[in-house]
Amino acid sequence: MKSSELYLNSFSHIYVERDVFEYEKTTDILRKVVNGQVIVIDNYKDVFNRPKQDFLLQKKSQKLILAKKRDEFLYKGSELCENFGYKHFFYTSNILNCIYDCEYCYLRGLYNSSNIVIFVNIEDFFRAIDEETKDKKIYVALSYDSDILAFEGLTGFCNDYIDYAKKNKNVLFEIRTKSSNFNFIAKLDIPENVILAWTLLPDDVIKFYENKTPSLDLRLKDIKAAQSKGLRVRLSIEPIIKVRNFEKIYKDFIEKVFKELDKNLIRDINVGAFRMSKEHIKRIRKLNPYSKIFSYKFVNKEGYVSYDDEENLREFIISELKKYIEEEKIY
Amino acid sequence: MILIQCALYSEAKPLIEKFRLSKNMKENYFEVFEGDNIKLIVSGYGKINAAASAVYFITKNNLECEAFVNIGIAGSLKRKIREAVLINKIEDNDTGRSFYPDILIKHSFDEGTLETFSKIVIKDMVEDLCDMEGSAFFEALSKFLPPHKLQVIKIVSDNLDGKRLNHDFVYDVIKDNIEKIEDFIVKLYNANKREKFLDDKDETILQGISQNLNLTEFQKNELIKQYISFKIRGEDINILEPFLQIKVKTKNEGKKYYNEIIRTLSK
Repeated sequence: MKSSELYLNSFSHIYVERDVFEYEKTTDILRKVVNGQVIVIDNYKDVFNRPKQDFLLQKKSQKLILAKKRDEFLYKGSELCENFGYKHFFYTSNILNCIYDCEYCYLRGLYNSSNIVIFVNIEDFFRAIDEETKDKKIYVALSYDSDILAFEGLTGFCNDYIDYAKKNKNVLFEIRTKSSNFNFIAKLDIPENVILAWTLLPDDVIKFYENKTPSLDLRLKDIKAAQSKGLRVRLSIEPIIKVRNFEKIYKDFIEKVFKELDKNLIRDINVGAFRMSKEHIKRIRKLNPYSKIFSYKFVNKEGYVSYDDEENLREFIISELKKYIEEEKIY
Repeated sequence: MILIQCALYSEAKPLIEKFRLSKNMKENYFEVFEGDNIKLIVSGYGKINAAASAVYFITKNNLECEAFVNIGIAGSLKRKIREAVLINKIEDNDTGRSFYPDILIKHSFDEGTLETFSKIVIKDMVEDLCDMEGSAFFEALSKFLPPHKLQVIKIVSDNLDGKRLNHDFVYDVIKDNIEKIEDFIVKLYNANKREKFLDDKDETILQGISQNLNLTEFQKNELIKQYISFKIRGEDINILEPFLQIKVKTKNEGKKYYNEIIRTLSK
């Protein structure tokens, strides 16, 4: 029996906290997910944090949980992530988990559940950012525990953040995506303090590792649309995933990217190796010891695991990028 | 294996007939019926019986099953008699706690909320459905099984009017829904059964090499890890067959071939 015949569609069930029915965002989302079975809950953790949930099986029929974030609206960014030289680096989590299912994603094993939590009280996030930016400039990654633009049709969060950014110049937002949803924000006037970033990898990697994500061509099409509006975009080649014929595949990929895009409208490019804490890779292995991520051997380094030749892989990509773009723009 | 729990024999009877289950005469504590890939336990009514029999049954099955389903009658003020409902939320009336089975599989039931009471309920404030076992079944088994393996199907038998139900009627209302129940159970089984990644051929190769080369435990584990990576990449495992013909006499000889295999697998 095919998987599609067995499993319910994603968002077949929507768990809604009793307290959030009054929010406009809740009404909007419920209007869009018309066939979802609504189940009233007291607290999202009653569903999201249940013991023994099967993260990977839930991916086959992800449910939606609408909740209110009650504290910790801004988190300090991880040291394993690129902060692009900003001293005050934060991230927000309006959404937990993702509709995509990348084999290498750190979200695997991060939570008990792969169901998607949407915190509908975005006003409280803005209040927290207001507070933090009273006396300093901060950099906030919006797509940290999810792909916020991938949900734009449902949530409209990117629209909200772009609007907010126009009023608060002390904040710099980064919206990073693998989606092809630029059309949802294309008509907006996107200010300088909102960076749009696309994660790109060769199509061979996308097909093998990035389940349910748009192809490289679709992402490039979106970036071109953004550039045609004069927007300077960020590209993120991350995480570098090892494949057979690595050099040829990544060389062709970089050539294609620069053939299609306007390099003058590339703000910068970050190149990140695959790195994960030892504890986290153990959790991922426990979820699925046969995940494609284990195609190549990892080695223990100082506090994290990576490919034994991660530096060589990164250097190769950087040397290829330098053929097309100034070194200062590569992180 | 699919495990089923019913509170009463009259609820179980249509399932015993449908799935051609036979009574296990060796069971002393509860009535148990068994067939191909399905086992059923009759718990008796009430929360304690539901919890005790559920834990007994899952323990007897080495804590393993593709799904454990509670099937039985329930009262409802608003639903029609004989309607079958798949439960997506269970509330325990005594503790106020709520439980949520993961509903991942396509089904043809209506879905609803079940409230479990310790006493018989007559015209109480019941939102949707009520019974006397559901929450105990779910809470007890949550210690052992993930929420997608725990399912509750309730068939409406009365509108909380206090009328006594006879066994034939209970049998009938379950039997009326037997096709839907069967369809759901088959899908549950197919969705939750796990295919082995390493098949018999893989096991033969790994065991053969380990024995012939007299590998240490560390080497065996490393070989398995590298073999899995090799297979995930979709490489041809037949490349290892020549190594199956080699039998070593010394440790050094074994190490030499082991290193060669690891090199081959990591190329």
